[in-house]
Amino acid sequence: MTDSKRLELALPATMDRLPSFLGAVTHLAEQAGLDPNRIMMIELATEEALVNIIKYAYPNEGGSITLIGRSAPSEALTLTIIDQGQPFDVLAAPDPDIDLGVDDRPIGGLGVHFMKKVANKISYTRNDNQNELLMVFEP
Amino acid sequence: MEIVNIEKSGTMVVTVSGRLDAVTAPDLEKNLTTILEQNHLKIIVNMAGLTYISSAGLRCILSASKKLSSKRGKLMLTMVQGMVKEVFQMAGLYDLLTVYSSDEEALGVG
Repeated sequence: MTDSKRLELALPATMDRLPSFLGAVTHLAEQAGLDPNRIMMIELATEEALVNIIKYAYPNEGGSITLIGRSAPSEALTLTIIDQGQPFDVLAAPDPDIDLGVDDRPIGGLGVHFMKKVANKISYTRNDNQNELLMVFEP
Repeated sequence: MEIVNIEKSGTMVVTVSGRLDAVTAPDLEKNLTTILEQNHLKIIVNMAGLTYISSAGLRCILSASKKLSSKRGKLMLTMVQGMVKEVFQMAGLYDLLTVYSSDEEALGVG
């Protein structure tokens, strides 16, 4: 495990910080030697998770988000995203019906669908007034 | 993200490049809303230079497509490729939206 890398980043829960979070995750995934297409998909799942926290865990008041990442060559990349906002279990949201036609399709719900599609494992826990989301991405 | 609007034989061709994410999607949304308010009924969104899209970007395309079809207009996408194509497919939207391989092809049909 000599080549394992760890990332920890705590920033305000605002949209303008998304590029910083995503840049750090991309860098971590690149260090682990992941395929560029897989890295973009991990970036997508991370963006959707962060946007949901900004919108729903901190709907009114501001706060911060801590992102902890771990990676190592040929091993799964794990991301833990922690916030102190309102209890918000993103996994409890119903899956969108992706068989509906364009005009019947509700605008929304796709972000969670992408997180579930891209991550190999995903879990939510509420601990000590914190939301904790864990996503595991196989190489 | 960069947005360029060019009108070609009555169709508004919107070329987007770079990243269409939660940070930049409001800019495209604003741009498409303005075009809709100008009563354009045919819009092409050229995605040749788009490298990344998230659900925020899809939402803005979907919303413009719905508004146009309610006015009997049409939103067409061209040059959807790579990661962007994969995301449209994951959402089950790729086969539902009108996608052409080039602007010329879309202009010919549209």
